[in-house]
Amino acid sequence: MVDDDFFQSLKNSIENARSDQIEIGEQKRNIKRICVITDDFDDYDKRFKFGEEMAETYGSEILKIFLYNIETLLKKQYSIDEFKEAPQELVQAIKNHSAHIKELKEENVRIVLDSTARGLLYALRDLRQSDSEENGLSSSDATALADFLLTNLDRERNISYTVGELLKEYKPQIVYFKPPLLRNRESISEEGFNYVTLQILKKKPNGTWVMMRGKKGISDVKNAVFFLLGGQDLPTVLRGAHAAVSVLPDLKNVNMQYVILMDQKKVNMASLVSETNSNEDLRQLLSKKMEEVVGNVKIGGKIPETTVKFGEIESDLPSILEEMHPDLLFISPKVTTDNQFDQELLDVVLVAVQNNISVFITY
Amino acid sequence: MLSLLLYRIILAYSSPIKEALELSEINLTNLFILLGIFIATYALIVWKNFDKNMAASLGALASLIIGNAIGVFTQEEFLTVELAHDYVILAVLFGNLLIVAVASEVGIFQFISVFLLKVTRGDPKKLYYTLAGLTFLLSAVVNTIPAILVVGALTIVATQELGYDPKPYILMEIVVINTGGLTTVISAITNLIIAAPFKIGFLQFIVIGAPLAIILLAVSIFMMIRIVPIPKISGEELEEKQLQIAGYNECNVVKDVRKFKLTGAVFAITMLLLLLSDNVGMDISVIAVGGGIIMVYTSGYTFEKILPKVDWTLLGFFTSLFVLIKGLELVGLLDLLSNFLVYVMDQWLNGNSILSALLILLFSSAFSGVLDNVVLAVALTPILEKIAVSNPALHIGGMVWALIIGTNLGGGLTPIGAPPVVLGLGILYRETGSKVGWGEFFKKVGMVTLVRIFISAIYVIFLVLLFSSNSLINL
Repeated sequence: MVDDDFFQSLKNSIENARSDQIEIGEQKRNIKRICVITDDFDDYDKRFKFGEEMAETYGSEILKIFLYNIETLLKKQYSIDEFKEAPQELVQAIKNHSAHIKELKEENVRIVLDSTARGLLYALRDLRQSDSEENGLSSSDATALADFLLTNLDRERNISYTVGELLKEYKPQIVYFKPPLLRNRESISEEGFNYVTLQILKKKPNGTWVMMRGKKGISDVKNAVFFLLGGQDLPTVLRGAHAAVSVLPDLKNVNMQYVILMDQKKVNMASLVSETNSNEDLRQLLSKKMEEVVGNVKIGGKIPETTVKFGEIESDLPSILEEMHPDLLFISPKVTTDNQFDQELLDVVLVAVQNNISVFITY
Repeated sequence: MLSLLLYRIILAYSSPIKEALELSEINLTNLFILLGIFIATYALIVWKNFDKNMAASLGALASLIIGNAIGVFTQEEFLTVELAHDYVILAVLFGNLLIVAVASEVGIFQFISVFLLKVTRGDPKKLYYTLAGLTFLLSAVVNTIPAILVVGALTIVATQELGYDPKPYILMEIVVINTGGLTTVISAITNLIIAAPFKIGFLQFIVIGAPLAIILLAVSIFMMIRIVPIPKISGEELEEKQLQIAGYNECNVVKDVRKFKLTGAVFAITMLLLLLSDNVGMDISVIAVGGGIIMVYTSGYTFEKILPKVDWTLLGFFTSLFVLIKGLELVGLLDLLSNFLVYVMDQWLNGNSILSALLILLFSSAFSGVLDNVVLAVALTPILEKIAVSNPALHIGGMVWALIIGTNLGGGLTPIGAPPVVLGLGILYRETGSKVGWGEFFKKVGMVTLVRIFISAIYVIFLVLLFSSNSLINL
């Protein structure tokens, strides 16, 4: 049919209108709003300071969010038996928290509490206002209160929901935090990403970039690596490039490279069914194809070098990262609908964070 | 025996048909033979498992041989005299297809497409309006069939690149393309078929058709963007879309800049000449074919290279249709139908030109929804010609425009109503696997078409009043 031929030839012709070389240099994102999220499991002052530095670099407005889970914080310091034996300890603990909250509020920090704790704190405030002399608790009152405070009432779920709503409302260009939130940071090595962290990744507005800081801050980056999995396409590469020119303040002096990890299992499978191509042939073919995808994108006036590796994320990525020693890893997961993750790339993020490498996720 | 029995049934139950039959001296046996060929051909055309072009060709051949054998016409007279008028329409169509083939070979359509894609900067809303504008423009200056193919190709590439669902865009284009089809005489094949015998000139057509087309364009876009919404994206997402689009360069589709410029200039001049054809004393068939020939020359291609790119199956299909309908005309069926229509208009509608025009609009819209609108145009145009001669009291201008509008818009009532609709839905299905069923099509596109037919009815009334009080259009 001439209709079909005509349509196909037009389509091919339009598709081939893409320039041989794409230059990403001037297309910087205007970073108007940055959001820093932290909690009491970390040196929050340090975290906020890093956020402020970023805001200063980009001339952005900043929103500082402090996640306050009274249950995990109390558990971190006390056990329920301690409160039973010494009820005044609980009063003191609550007083300490009140002072902390007051301090954060003075710093203009947005405190995210779960609704149950918020209700209790309001009740305590009212109690204090009605009887200023009353500042003690009986043993049974302390036990009941401690029970309430130390019981898991889906507080993390409440907090995650509230943070998600806050992010949707604020629409920051960059969200910065160190995972896992509401947990000891060291627990990432064994437990991976916890619920709150995953929820932030899920609920953040579309197009918001996520920074997870490791050893190096944005201004200290000398070696940036764009990480790709085999099969990722040009729009993914462009997203990473766009982020790099937008956030790296001294791009000219940053060494940039692409690292492409091909799934060796898939290559093995393909070579088993292929009559013409050996495993090595396939590796060469795939490498060439991916090199073609990235080889024509100029970032800040230069084309980054490309390294193609074959292996698995879990077993081979740590050694690859060690070899490349990136200060900052740009990762572009697939944009997925219905609030799901690109699980493979989430695993890459996890490995990088576990190795204390700063990660920039460009959704 | 059978024809006698049918004749008696008809006489017993229908006075308009009785009247029409009495007025037309028809050999019923011959009529049923040729009508049978036509019905069988049409059944094969709509049957999915049979090649529609083959069906039309076989039908035309049967009509030519049998019509000659039973003495309805002689083949020589049929081919030299009776079809003379249709050759002009086929020439315009050929010229148009030639222009489209050359323009796409040198990259004119692709250049415009990529340029406009860059102008949208990846914004889904801007892309929507730009595609609507391009669809309207292309359907106006080339033809609805190549227009949907050009815009369809751009839509698929752009939406795949940007990650948008192409469905809202393609459905909008299907609606807009029928609207654009009302703009000029060469915009839709049905326009050519209807306008040629009534000598409606290029400019004359624009004066009447374009205002309605523009009103309907605005209504169509307004409704379609609400019925099938496009995605909403944040500023950040838009930045990334812009990046993706930034990689496109319209100059990359041009193989030879000099030839591109020359051919583009001839293309523009041809369009201008078509626009001024009423004033320059040239027939649009000469301008279209002539423009096409000069474009082949300036493009540097040979006819050997270009002619295979012309959609010959389309030309063959129309030639076959013209043969079939001419056979029915010569056997007297069209006389019968026109007498029937005149009777209905005289007796039932009291010779009211407004009601008569509205009847034609409703009839042609409704039947264009289920029949191929080109077949309907080919069949109804000679009937209107006969009405114009037999009943000068009726203002034929309003009816002619009602038929033009009805055949253009009615195609948007169902998924099989018009060639660009079928092609647009085919592109969507083949490229994305997204199927639009009859129910969904009617809810989304059909409803908009009904609103547009209603607006057109008001416009037709206005036209009839205008024609009654003013001899602006010499019909």
